Amino acid sequence: MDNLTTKQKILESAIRLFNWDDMANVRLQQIADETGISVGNLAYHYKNKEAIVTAVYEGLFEEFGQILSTYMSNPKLSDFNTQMEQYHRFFSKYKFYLIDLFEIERSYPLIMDRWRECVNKMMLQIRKRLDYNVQRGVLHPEPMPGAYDTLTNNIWMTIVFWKPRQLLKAQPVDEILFKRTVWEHIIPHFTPKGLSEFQLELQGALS
Amino acid sequence: MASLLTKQKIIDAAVQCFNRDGLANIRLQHIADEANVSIGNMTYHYRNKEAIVQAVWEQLVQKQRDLLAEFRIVPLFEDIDRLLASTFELQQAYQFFYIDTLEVMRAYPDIVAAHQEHISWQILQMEAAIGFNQSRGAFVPTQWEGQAKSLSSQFWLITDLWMYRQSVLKAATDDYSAFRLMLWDLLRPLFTDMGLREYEQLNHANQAQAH
Amino acid sequence: MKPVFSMSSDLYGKMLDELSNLFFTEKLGLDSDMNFYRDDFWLTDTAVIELLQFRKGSWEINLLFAHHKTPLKFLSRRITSHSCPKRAKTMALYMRRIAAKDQRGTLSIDIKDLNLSLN
Repeated sequence: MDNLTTKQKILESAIRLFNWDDMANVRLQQIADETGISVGNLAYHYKNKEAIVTAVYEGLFEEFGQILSTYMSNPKLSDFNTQMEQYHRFFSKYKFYLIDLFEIERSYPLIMDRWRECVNKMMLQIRKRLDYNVQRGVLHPEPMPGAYDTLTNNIWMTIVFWKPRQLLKAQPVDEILFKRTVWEHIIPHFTPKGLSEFQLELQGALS
Repeated sequence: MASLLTKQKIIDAAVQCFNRDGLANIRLQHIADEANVSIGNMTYHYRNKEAIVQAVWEQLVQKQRDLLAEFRIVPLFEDIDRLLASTFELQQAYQFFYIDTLEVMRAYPDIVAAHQEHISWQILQMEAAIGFNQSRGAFVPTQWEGQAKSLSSQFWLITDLWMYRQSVLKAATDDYSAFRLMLWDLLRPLFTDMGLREYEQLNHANQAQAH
Repeated sequence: MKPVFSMSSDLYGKMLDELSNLFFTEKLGLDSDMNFYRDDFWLTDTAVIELLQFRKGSWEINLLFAHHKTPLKFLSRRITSHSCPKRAKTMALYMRRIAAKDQRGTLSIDIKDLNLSLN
């Protein structure tokens, strides 16, 4: 039991350090210091930095998979809203992730492949959500072929990049603002039915 | 004058190196070799890599500002289109910055403040352009408070991070029509009938030009 | 990093489609759909009596379920049959104990409960 928590503590401090500095610059000594244990103790749990990086990413993809699995837990618009909350939490926890991605590609190409897979799934889910809500009469049908593909892209880019971008601009990054920004892509496409469902169920929570 | 030329030569060489190998992997020696100057000569102009990155960034921002300066007088649809085209060209020329923006910002905190200002300024310009097109009847009035502002900021978010997106998805980073379509689609919900007609005319004209 | 199971994006898309379709095809059930359960609910309050009958050359085991308050409400079920009477008896005992709500057999009925008139 005690071992488990030390392992977790190590991963948590590794995540903290990766968020703060280039992954390539973080040394084992720093991770040990941050965790409050000796390097020897650290090496007992993870034999080198590669092992830590791999473990961090295992956890990261595990969490991402869980977010993906919440797709369509309920048939209303609020389903997407809930998923957005989880994405927000995910990208807050793993800030380093987007930043180090290309550097990672050089040393751990498998990670990049998995991230690509996640991204594809994430986009497909958004796209299918739009289709589903068109069928349900909540969204207008595509104004022209391909329009919802680009909408999907724009939504995806907002989910992924909004936060680092706000930080760059020194603007607030709270969850409600984030969700509102994503919804703003969708609002213009609502049918009257969709708009009233949105106002009834979500507007209150978003202001 | 000669010194100005050398400076420019160094910057051009640096951009080339960064695009080719990524910012983090380049040392001063590489840039000096590429620019065909001695390390000593180079450090006389720029004392370290940071100074070079800063200079490159300043040049990039200056170019963006020039583009927007042209744009801001009467931003009709064709001007928006032209802005997209030249922004795209700029991104191609400074690939390393657009693919790795987030990393550049973390590694060079001095740039961050200036870059913040620059982004806000860009957003203001776009907001003005939306306002202008609303007043001439090509865009519908905004449906809720702050819509124009957040739309403008979305516009630049997608513009600036488009290359990152393409490389994550292993999609072509030089596909201008995909880039253009994505940004126009962002504005499309605002089109009035008049706006839609103008947009179709614009596409028509572009196609005719391509043939 | 461990290799992971992955599916093609076409397949994943189809899976998502099916998930969305659930909300169109799945309807709420009616209350009456559970009638079969309520109809047989009285069976949980029955005394179970084993009944051995010699029929067609073998011993047939029947279980008789009779409601302990209104014994005229009863149901007989044929369970199985055995050629050996001893075995049939043991089998019937176990069957009764499996089927009865109270295994010690406190729920029981008596001929007097039936209140029959022999006139």
